Amino acid sequence: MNENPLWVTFLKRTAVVVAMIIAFFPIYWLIATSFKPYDQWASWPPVWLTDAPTLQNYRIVFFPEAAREFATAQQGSLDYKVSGSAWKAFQDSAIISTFATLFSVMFGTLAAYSIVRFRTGGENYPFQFLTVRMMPPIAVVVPIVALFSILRLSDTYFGLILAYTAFTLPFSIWMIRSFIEEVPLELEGAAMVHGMSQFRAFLTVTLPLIKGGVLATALFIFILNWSEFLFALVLTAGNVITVTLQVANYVSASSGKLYGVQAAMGTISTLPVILFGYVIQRHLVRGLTFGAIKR
Amino acid sequence: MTKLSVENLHNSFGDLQVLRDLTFDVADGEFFCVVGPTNAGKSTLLKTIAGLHRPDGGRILLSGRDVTLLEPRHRNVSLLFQNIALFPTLSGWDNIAFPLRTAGVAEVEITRRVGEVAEMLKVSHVLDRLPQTFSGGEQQRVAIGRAIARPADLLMLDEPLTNLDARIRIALRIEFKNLHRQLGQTQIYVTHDQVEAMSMSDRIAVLNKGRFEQIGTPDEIYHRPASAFVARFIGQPPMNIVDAELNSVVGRAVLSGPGFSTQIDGIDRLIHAARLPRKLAFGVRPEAIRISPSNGPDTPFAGEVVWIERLGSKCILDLRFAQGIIKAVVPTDHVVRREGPAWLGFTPKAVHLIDKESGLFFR
Amino acid sequence: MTEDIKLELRGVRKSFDRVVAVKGLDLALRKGEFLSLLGPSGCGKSTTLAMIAGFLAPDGGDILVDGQVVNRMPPRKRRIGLVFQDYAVFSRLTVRANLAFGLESQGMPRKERHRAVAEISEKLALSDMLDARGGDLNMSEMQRVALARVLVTKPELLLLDEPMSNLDASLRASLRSELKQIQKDLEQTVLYVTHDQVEALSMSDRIAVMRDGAVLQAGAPEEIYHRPVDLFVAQFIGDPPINIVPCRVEEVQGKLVVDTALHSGLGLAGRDVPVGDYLLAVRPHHLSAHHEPREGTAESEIRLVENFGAEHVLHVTYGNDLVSVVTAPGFALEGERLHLSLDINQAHLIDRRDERVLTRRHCEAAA
Repeated sequence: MNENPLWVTFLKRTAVVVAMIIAFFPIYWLIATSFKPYDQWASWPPVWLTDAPTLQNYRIVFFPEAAREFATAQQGSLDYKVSGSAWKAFQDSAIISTFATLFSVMFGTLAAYSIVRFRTGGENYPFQFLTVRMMPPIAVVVPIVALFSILRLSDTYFGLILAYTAFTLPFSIWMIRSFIEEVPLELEGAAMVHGMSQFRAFLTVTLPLIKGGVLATALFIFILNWSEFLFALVLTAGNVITVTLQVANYVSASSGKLYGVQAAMGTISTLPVILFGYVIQRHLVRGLTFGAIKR
Repeated sequence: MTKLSVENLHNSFGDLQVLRDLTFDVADGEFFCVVGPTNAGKSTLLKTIAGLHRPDGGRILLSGRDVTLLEPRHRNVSLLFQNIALFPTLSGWDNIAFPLRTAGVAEVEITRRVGEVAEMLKVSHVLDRLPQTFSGGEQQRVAIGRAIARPADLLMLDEPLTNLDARIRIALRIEFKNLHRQLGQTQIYVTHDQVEAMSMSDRIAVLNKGRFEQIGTPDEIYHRPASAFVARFIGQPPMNIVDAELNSVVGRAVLSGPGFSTQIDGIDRLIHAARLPRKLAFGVRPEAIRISPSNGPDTPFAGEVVWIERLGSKCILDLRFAQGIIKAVVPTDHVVRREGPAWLGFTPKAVHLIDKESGLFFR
Repeated sequence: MTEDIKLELRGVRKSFDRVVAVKGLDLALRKGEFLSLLGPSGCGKSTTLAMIAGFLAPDGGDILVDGQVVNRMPPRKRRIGLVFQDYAVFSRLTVRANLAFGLESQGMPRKERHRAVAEISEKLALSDMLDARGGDLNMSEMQRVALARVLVTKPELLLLDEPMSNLDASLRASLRSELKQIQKDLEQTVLYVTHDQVEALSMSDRIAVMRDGAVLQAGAPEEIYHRPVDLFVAQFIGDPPINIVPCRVEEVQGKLVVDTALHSGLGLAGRDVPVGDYLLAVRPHHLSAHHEPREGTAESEIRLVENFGAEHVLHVTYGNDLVSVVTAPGFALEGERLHLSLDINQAHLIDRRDERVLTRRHCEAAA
């Protein structure tokens, strides 16, 4: 029963279009810039769609030697901070993000189960977890750096994985908790009464039912890890380098920020996340749940 | 032979005392009903016996073994939950087979047993489908199938019929009773519907706010209720409870109140010992009240019919009497069938006396 | 007397995807009448209620309130009050605030609101608890608050959607009396949806029995009970449910007689049906159980005894079927045999193919 006058509908639809433009503009600009030649990176008036698309930026990303060509063409000095190919950054980020996500989700699930079923820590425990994350991370940068230095975790894979796990754990717990709460106690109870231990009941009954939620949480955490910058910056010194750091390193004294190269890097680094999301999307469907639970 | 023995069981969640000092036995093969209003503690009781809740105190003995602290899977009990809890990702067949598979029974035997159970419960046609495609009645029966697939020492059913349509409930009630006869298994059946409890059980325990008000056979509970709560909870319509006074007139005990007075016997002992309660009430069941359009030896008290519920085979009359409303049940073709003045009476034998302070019956 | 009709449904239809929920429904509700929509889950009664309330638009047909077509009218304009399952009393507000709620949303000025609230609480015996919190009330009080909250807005029509189905069985009897008394005192027009035939029989002026989206029969409770139109209605109304056994009508010496598995030669006086096989429907109260054989009885074995306190229901063998018969408590035990007689004058003949009740019997029903 649509009783809205036509102009209201028009207004609503226009608002949606405007919101979409605002949301997608950065992505469009990123991809467009990554194919622009040097002189069009930051020109004014802005070049919306380049007429001379080039793969130069992408070449620089993977083959830093290509930068020499570029520098020569610009008549600038070659004082690149980046000495290695972006391959290493992708590898390191992949390792760190994947393991950190894995650990975060694993521990998060176990902790969430404990909180929901056994009321561990009392009623306010989950909220306490969340307040940890409400603090701006930059406030704890100095103590963390000091701690890592003492523990000799600086500039190691394990160190960064640990840090990321710790920082994303509150999100894991909070999100997975809500999925576990939706699984009625009676389902596990039925499994337990009919012969399973509580842990086995959790594995065979509950876990498959929250699979979608856990995967959604994993995707979310992966994105957080993949795009994290601050702690990657302060906790590494060259041995380990993440995609975010790599992007930040595309500066040169003469040419300033190499927007095009950064854009290329940015475009490529969205791919793993999209891939992850695509692979798990069919598990996100909640079709098989709760067909036989009464209100 | 006692199958289940519960001693001084109590359990609380936070500040809330859910089960208070419960003690009872269930004999081997008995159909034992626990009946009571919502939140009386019935589900908690079953879950504690099954091992899903740890009691704060007391003991649970099953076939002589102390199982109070054992995990559910070691207790050899079976529980049918109030919200059924069929495994949504498993087919009907796999659901029923679940206890057998977990116990490591041979696949051949599983096939035989599941087929047998499905046949008995008439759910063979849904076995290859998922629970969300079943109707309410089918879900119910598959859940029962899962509960009885593997013979257990004790079968417990938590309000299995509560969410079903009235008509299906009536049909399944009879099936349950038949099933019990066929299986001969010790059963605890929990419900808030006293009609179910009355019609199906060997013995009934009335649970109210975590405490047992009375345990007895249906006849005992119905004809000799221990407290006002039991008297009003069991029986449909519930027993009428009317405030009254007890006096001694010419050496006889007379029960009286606004608009009525009648002789009462059976309490001479109490009168002699001068131990009559000060505030009392009397209870009389609706079917024990006689109604007539005119004054007579059987119907000496005046009243007024204010509403008639015609339920097909019988009528429930709401009567204004003794400054309140009481209910009487009469057959459909009874001579009093309209609203208006009427005369009523009841035999002294049908009258129960209650001490208002304790809420307990003393006659 | 069309001004008297509060609610009318003409050919109302509703489908969801390819499932037809309501098929061409016709219904009329008079002012002050209590009408029950009675039927099993999925029969379309709740969908019909949702269309009357305005939450769903019918695919076809018209809904008229006080003679005015309201198909496209939004719910808030229809002057209809709705009471949900569990009553949904706002637990954090006081009773007074609950009652004033609807009036506030309507924009009624304060003084008038107070007066209206005082008036309705007087009528529903809530005056003493106006300051009590919604969450602290017992069930009876909650029902009255839920009703008062709706009635204070003086709706043309009151809709109730299975309000008692989630309540303890023991409470329902007293809540039924209270609801009915309130309805009679206020002369409120009520449409009550339920699957419980006891509720329908007890409170309604008329019952509409629904199945698969259509009304099978509509009439006064006694009419539905004593003269059901088909097998479904006969089996749906009445507790214990009606007994159905196969039978055969034969002509013997110019007279029609009924033969069943246990009884034969039962005379069918005053009814004219073709010879053949039928179903016989007889209510448990119209069977008699005796300890000793008598004229017209046949032996049967007791398979199950249901103890209902004031009476027992015995499930006894009848050929290949089981029938139920009502006796006084303590009449007999399981496994014993008894002698059964059947009052053919109280029984219905049902056609095996279309399941319609063949002859309308005139029974001595309580008027």
